[in-house]
Amino acid sequence: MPTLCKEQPTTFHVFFAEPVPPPITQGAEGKKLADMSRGIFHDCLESWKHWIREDEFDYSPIPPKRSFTMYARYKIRGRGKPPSYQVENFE
Amino acid sequence: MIESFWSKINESRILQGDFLTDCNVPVSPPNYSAKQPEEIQVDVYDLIVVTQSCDLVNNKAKLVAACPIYPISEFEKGNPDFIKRSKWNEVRRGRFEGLHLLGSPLQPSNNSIALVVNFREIYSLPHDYLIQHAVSLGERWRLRSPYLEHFSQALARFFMRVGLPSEIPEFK
Repeated sequence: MPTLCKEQPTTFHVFFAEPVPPPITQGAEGKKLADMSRGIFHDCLESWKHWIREDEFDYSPIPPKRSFTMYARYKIRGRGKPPSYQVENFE
Repeated sequence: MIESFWSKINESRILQGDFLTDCNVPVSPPNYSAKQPEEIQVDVYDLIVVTQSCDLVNNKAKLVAACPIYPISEFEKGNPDFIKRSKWNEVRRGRFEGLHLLGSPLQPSNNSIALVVNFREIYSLPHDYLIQHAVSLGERWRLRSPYLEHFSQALARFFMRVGLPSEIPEFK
């Protein structure tokens, strides 16, 4: 019986170290450097986001061609009865 | 020369692979009762029938299952990444189990006007309504063999998927 397997990815993956590395020093200069590096990190993340987790690429449903409203009265008929199933005789 | 996936028909019978344009799909509100008439939303979709033909011919299905089908240009409006990232070739090869590509009925060699079926949305509509609607459409398209069986197999693959909680790490 055939089994549906995950396809080998056709594109390469890029992985970033997470979380963002902490500031090297605690001083004002160190904080400035850390903020700058964090900015560069996020810029990189944005520009490379198409390559990250390629296997999770997904799509959205498309809205209907058009919609309209109408008035309807519901008729609750209770629990449905099972349909008759013809049992074939294989003797 | 690419042969057409479709044959033109004009009959009241509904079979698997029938392309039915402008079908009304009523959407029930979250809370409804039978006490008084209520305003309901009706969405209009182009649908392709997925219920097995033998069940339809033998009147074994009161409700007919059908999936939305769109020109790929319409699909791209809601999913622009499909253009940017050249995903259509992957869909064409069957790597997106929720989507299935079918050639255009009029120009099968023009892939820019191909059709895409979304298996994630399946609507059940009364058989009688669809027969009446099919008659009102007049000439319409029906998927031919073996494209029909290929389409049906793609739907089966969509349902037979098994997700694992963990998997062998990727070879790098």
